[in-house]
Amino acid sequence: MDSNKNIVPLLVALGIALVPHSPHLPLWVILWCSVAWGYLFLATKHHLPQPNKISRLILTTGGVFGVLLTSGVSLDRDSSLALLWIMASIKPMEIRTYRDKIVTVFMTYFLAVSCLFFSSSLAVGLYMPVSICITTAVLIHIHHPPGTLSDKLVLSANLMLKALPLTLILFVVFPRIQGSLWGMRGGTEAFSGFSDSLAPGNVTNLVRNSAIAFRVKFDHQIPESERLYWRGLVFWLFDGRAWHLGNNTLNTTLPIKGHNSMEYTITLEPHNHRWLFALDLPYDSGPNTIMQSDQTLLSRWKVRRRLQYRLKSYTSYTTGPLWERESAALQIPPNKNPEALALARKWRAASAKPAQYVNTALNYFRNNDFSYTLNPPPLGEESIDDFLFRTRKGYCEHYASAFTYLMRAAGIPARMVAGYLGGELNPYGKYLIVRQSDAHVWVEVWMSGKGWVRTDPTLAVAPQRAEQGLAAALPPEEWSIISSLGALGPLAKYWINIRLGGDAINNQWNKWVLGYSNNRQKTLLAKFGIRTGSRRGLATAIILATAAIILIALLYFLNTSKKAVLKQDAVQKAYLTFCAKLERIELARKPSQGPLDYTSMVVALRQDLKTSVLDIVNLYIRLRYGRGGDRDDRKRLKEMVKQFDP
Amino acid sequence: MPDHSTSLPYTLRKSRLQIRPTRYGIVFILLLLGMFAGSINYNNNLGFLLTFLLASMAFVSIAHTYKNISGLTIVSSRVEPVFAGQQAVFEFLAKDSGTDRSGIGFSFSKEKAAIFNFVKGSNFRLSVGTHASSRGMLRPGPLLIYSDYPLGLFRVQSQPHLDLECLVYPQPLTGKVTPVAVRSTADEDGDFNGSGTDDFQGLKGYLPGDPLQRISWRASSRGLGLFTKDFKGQHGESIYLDWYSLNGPGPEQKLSLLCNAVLKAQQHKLIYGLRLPGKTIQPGNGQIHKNRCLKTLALFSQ
Repeated sequence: MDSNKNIVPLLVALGIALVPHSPHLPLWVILWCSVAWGYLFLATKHHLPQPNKISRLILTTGGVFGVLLTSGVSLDRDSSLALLWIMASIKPMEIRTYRDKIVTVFMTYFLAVSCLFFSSSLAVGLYMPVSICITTAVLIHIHHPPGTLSDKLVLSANLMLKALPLTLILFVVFPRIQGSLWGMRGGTEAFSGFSDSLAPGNVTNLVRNSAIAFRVKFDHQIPESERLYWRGLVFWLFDGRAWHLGNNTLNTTLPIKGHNSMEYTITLEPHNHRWLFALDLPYDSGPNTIMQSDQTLLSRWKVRRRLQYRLKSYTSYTTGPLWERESAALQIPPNKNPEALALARKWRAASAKPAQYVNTALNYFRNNDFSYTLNPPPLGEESIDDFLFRTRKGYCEHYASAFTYLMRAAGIPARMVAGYLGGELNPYGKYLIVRQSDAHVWVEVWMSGKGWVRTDPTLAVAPQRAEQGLAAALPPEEWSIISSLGALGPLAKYWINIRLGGDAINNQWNKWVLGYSNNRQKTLLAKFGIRTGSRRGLATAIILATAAIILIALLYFLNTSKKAVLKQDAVQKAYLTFCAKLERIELARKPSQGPLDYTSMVVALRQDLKTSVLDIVNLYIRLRYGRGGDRDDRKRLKEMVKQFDP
Repeated sequence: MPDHSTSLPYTLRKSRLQIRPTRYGIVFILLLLGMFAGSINYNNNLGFLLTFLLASMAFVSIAHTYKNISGLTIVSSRVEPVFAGQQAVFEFLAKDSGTDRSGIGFSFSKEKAAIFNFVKGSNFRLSVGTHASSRGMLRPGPLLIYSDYPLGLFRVQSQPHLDLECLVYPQPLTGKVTPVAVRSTADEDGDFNGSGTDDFQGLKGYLPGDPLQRISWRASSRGLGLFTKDFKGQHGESIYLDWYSLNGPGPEQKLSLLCNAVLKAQQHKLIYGLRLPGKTIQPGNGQIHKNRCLKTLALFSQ
């Protein structure tokens, strides 16, 4: 029974490690673990029978079967995790020896840390050290049972505190590589954001999601909100219903003229695609990003983890001439939407210039009882005609789509741009939060002399959308779709502040811990004069890191003994000086004489020196052979020897 | 016998300590390497952070282990002779060094370690056993002193070759040993008469090995030198336990039989002597006499 006593702390450590996993585990696995450990706990307390080999086998088989049933036969990341926890629920039942217990502790460590591959939020980051501290305390307790568990916790926390500087040094200097060792098996988590085609309804779905798309920190001033068009994708091809990217963009930067340059850093949440977002219109991008001929940006890899990149954009710009490949900007599906086509021809005949035509189209939206809504009625086969002449209710995607169609139908090059509009300023961090609910689609029309000109037909219907945001533009009955804050009433203001404050903290966490990358490491180490760009720089970093570790190791190991030796030496040195002074008056110490023999000889021959000699020798004996003394005693001895003048 | 043996007192100074990972330490390092590889692969910074944290904690624990064991001083050792097959128990005295020490293990070679917790404020007595398999002078080899407190992942140890010796008597073997009466044998020492304890016969000159309780202190106090009171055995005889009277079994069995006979003879308060090839112990009695006989048996070599 005694050997079972120790498993209660193990159960506690396992339970604590399980908590942060709970969002990623099927509910039954959590219950399964709780019941298994709960039973073991009670069995230990009340001497209930321990599960035998057969029942353990049945439980294992049942658990594995259950996981396979839940997740299908494919063994992905989530189901492997569930399997691990099933094992962890059964392992404590077969603990017999010290070895079993240690293996269980190691298993707990592993399970605790494996949580990070599912979530790296600040909350998890704060929770993990607690979990590790408790697990370590349990390890100490198993290894060394005497003493109370709370002593073990204190010791464990003590170890952790002392380990902190070394941890931070390792974290900062350990070279980061880009890419991965053996490739990543993606999880099943859902990414939100745009996809590579845009059909009516896509954006309205996205808008319901308040997840953060990215955060932006401007180097200087934040532009006015009506200029915050975040460009992501350009759709060229229309199939009558949905828009597609097309294949006419090149990975080259075209010359742009512009002014009002903005420099800023975007921290993009993972969306599992390669495209990146930029303030309209980017002209310079950092490494690992590709600028395309339609001024959209691509990452070299799919963005599967938070990505940070720096950009420069002009908020006023003119692009160059229309390139041959951009003739796709005139494509419309043949034999469809005859009414829209006829309308476009009529307008075009009446407009002298393309700009005039553009205004005619915008006025059409303004004056014909169009409305802006998140719940548009469905469109039929002739989607543009349906929208322009019948439903007249739609979201930005409907307006942009119809507008682009009208442009193209009149022979004016136009393309659809998808991205975000606006952003919430976080006053605590002076940065913008752009959410999925800020998703927006607009149009670019090509005009000679100006190049591609941004035109937002949505503003013709809902002019408040750009300046005051989505909520102001939507009818009040639809507010609840995009935000549940209304339910909080007057408390909403506080809640918003709390949320923004939390986001500011989270942003720092993302920036300094999760976002600590190859690039950031370079920048940080460069401040200390270490350049890691080159191979030699990397070697320097590794050598310095190793040196730092060794130095710390030496400090840890040599602290007490070295000091003790030095202190001892000071005492010895004082005594030798004392002997040397006596030697000058022909009272040399024989090698065989200890301090007491020597003193009695000296005192016998020189009664006059008796007090001072005895004082010195007694103190010396106490310091050297006795319990030792403090710093004052050593100082006093030195002083006495100095003043000793035979 | 290693030539670099150390004598007591022995202090576990840092230069005398070695460090090595335990079996679980190696598993732990492998576990960390796994986490580390995962962190690199997924570029998971929190993973890096926690892997480094665990590694640093293990590293810091080494410093704790060092502190736990270094400075420990073994002042003296003591051991009682044992019979072969028994546990030879060395008792050490560790000096109080003003710190608590937890889980310090002591063992000889491959034997199971005895674990002690030291409390500051007083000297500490600790016993470490080793199996005495055969008679003779047992030299238990290096004493392993180690600590893997607090985590059990790394062990700091010292293995001093302390000049430790334990006398191991032969294993007593019950069997028939026919005592040989002193008179009936051709005595090397012609005038020697077997001495018993029953009848006081007078004083004889002290011979080393004579029981102390039979020294005539009154005679010595008069400055006459050491005399032993001589007794005549009730049965009129003292006996020899004689190697040559045993035929058949090999030399080790003979020694075991003689060992048993010595113990019996002492138990029955006989006056007994021991005759071995090339070595004879005159008859006598008492603890000292017994120990002398047993020692002779233990160290006997032909």
